[in-house]
Amino acid sequence: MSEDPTARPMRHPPNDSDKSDLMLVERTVAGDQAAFELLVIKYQRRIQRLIGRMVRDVDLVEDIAQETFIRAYRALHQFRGDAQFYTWLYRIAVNTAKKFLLELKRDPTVSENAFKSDEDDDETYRGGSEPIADETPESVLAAKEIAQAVNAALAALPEDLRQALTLREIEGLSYEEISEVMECPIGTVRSRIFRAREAISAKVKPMLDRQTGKRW
Amino acid sequence: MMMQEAVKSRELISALADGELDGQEFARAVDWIGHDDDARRTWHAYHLVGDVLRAGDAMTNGHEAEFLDRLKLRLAQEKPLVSGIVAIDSIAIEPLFTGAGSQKDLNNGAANDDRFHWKWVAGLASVLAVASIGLLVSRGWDEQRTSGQLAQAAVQVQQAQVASPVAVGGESQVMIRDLQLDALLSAHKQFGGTSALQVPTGFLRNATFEGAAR
Repeated sequence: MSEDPTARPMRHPPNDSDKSDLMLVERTVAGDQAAFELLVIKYQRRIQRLIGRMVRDVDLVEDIAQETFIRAYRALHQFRGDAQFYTWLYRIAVNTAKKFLLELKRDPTVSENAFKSDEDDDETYRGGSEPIADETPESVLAAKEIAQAVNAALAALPEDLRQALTLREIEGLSYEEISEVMECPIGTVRSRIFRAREAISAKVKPMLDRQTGKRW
Repeated sequence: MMMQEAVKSRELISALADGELDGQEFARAVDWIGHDDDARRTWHAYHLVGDVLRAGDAMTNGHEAEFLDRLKLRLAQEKPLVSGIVAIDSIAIEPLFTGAGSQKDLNNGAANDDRFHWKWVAGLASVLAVASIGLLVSRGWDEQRTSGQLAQAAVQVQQAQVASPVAVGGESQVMIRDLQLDALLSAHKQFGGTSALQVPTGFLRNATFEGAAR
């Protein structure tokens, strides 16, 4: 277990969650704003991380992320589900960040340090060692602790729960596919994945509460 | 009992995160996360766990709840999204009429249902209106089509007199025919070119602006 977990390549969430995303979009367009909040909670970290690779200014990262979600909300009725929701959101985030940066470059009071090269403007890129703009030493440490806790909790799970969750989250298999692999009913797969998540979340939630100091 | 309900609901959230919910279960889970802080915290934690397992990084800056609060304030100022789409699952779970009076109205139908003759009058008026509009439209269309055809024919005749396409060497070229020039050339055939059969063609083959120099 000496492998550095941060060296893992970025994977996209399993495709079946796209169906949920599309249904949440449809629900938002039908007038339920709370459904959009679910999408925000799901993707805000990835979007902030993406913008953090383009911009150095911590405050700016959050502003651009806010603007990204507002723009996405306004354009949500145009989302037809042809692409993944995250891919669509990603494009909005990159365009919003570029627009912000162009405006800032025209502002003589802003130093060059606020900008980063956008050569790594790639949906799948993850710089391993370079710090991200919205990270402070404390948040980096906390994120590391959380990652360690998740990995430790996963390792401590009974084999059937660990296998179910791994097949789902890392391999991206659907419940049906997992039920074939594990030779058990779909209901059992659902239950195992849930129990695995519960066990890991039980370790993580107190850390998140300590970190944020605020409950949802 | 409450504990069991909460566990069951969290299982729904887990299945929702995996895109494995439909219909009423989907609606129930979304409603619950939308209105319950603990459910939202669970939704957040499950996705964070997924991110760590996939990327090896929690990617959290610790301000996610505040971020959402700020965004909610901004979203509250946004115009409501206009759409003709109504989520079927939301219809299934949310009663359209909540008051007792409303429910009575829903069961009773229209207020003037008992006045039966109104239906006949309204139906007849609709049929007459549609028929008269149809008649007017078809008449107007016929007239327009006739006058349009005449105008088109006149234009075509005029164009034929002015210009006619002539195929030269296999390529289609348009030769502009001027009626006055044709008359002049036929009166003075010596200016016209000759064909291979030595018959004057009546067309001007060469022209120059040089006058006195020639």
